[in-house]
Amino acid sequence: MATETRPVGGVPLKERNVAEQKGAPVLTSSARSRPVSPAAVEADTVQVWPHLVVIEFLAAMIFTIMLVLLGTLVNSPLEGLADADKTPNPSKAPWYFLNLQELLLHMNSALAGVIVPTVALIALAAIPYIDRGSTGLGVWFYNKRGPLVGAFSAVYTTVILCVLIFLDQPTKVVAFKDTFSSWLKGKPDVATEGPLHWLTQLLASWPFGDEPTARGVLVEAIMGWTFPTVVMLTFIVLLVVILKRMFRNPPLNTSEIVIGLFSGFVATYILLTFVGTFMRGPGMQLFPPWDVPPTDYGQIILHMLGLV
Amino acid sequence: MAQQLRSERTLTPRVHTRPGPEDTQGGLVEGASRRDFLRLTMLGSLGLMALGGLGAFIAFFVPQKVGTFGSKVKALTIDDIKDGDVVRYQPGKFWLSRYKEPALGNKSVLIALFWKCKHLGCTVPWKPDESFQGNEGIFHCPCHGSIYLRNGQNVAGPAPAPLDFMAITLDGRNITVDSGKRTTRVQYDPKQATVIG
Repeated sequence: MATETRPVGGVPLKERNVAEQKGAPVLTSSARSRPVSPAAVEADTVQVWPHLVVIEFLAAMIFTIMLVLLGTLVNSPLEGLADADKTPNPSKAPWYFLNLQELLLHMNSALAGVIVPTVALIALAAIPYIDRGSTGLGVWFYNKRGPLVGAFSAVYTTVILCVLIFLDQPTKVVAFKDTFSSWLKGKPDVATEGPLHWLTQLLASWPFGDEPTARGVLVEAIMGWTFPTVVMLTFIVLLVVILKRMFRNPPLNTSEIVIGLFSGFVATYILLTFVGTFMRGPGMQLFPPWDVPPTDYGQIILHMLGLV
Repeated sequence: MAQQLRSERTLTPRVHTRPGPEDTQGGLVEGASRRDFLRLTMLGSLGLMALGGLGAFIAFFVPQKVGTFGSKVKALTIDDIKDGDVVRYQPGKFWLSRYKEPALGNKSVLIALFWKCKHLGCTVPWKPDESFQGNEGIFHCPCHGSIYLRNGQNVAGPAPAPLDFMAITLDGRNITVDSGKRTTRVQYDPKQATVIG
C-alpha cells in the first residue's frame, strides 16, 4: 500500500489529483495511474512547426507592411542639429514618456521622476504576493463585480486627475508655490504680513540663519514634496474606502481591491500620456486638444542659422 | 558496430608535431619559429591597443575647450541696459537683468542669471510678453513650465530653487560677470543683486 501512494513522477499525488479534477491533462506517470501512452502525449502537443512559426511569420509580415505604410504616408522630418542655447518650446520627451513628463510638471523632480515610478513598479510586481487567492485564476471576469469595480475605479481616477491637472495651472488657476510663499512673507517685502510669517521667523532663527532661506526651503518642502504626496495618497486611500462602501455584500476580497487599484493605475497612465501628448503647448501650458499651438520648428531652424 | 569504431578512433593517439627553430626556412629570424613570430605579433598588437585605450582615457583629464564660459566676461556697459531690461549674453550663458529693487529703496540693481533651469537643466528663455501675478516679463521654461521672475526667483512649476546667479563686478560703467563663479540659492534675497552707482 505504501508504495502505491508514493508518487513516482515529478508531481506529488495530491497536486496531481487536484489538477485532474480541474480537467487539466497530466502527463506524469505514478504508481496508481496507468503509464502515459505516446499517443496521449501526441494528442496533447502542438508542434512549433507549423503551428507557432506560421503565426509568428504572419505577425512579422503584418508589422513590416504597417511600418512600410506608416513610413511612406506619414511625414516625420528630422529637426536641425541640437543647440544647447535654445531649447525647443515646448520641449517634449518621446510620447511613451510623456506620462512621466506630465507628472514632473506637478511636483519635485525626485518625487515625480524617481520615487513615484519606483513605488508604482514595486507595487505592480508585488500584486501576485498580495493577491494570493486561487479563485478564478487565469479566467477573465470570473464574477460580475470585477468589471464593475474596474470601471468605477477608472472613471473615478479620470475625473479626479482631470480636476487636479486643471487646478495646477500657475498662470491661470492657482499658483500653489507662489500663494504659499506669500503666506510666509513678512514686511518689508509685502504690504501685509502673511498668516504663516511667524513660522519663517521661527525657522530663520534656527536652523536656517535667515528669513529668505527659511522661506525657500519651506516652500519646496511643503509644495514640492509634502502636498503632492498627501494628495496622491489621499485619493488612492479614498478610492479603496469608496469601493469598500459600494460593494459591501459580500465584502470585497483582496483580488477585487487589487483590480480596483490596478484599473486606477492604468487609467492614470493613459490619461497622463494623453494630456502630455495632446494638451501641452508652449511653456507646457494646458490647452484643449483641438487648440494646441503647433511647435514653431521654422523659428528654431532660423535661430540655428543665426537669422533670429 | 559503429560504437566500437568510434571508441577505437578516440583511443588512437594523435601525434602533435611542434615546429622548432630547425623548421624555420629562409632564415628570416634566426632562432624564432613561425609560431613564436605569430604569438609575439598578436601580443604586440594587443599591447598597442591597450596603450591606445589608456591614452584615450588619460586624454579625458585634459580640458579640450577653454572658452568664454567659465571665465570672467567683460561684455556690456551700464549704458547698454536700462531698468527693466533682460539682456541675453550667449558666450557667458547668462541673462543680465536690471531692475529697481523696492527692498533697497528703489535703487537700480543688476543680477546675472545662469540660464540653466534649476529643475532639469533646460535653457530658460526670457518671455517679455508673458506675465505672472502682475509681474510683466518672466522666465518660462519650455520643458516643464517652471516660471522665474526677473530677479531669478522661482514662483511656479516644479523648479525647486531660484536660478543660480553669477558674481558681478562694476568697473566704472563696465560690467564684468564671472561666469565661473555661480552661486546656488534657495530664495531670492536683495543682497544677491549688485547696486548700480
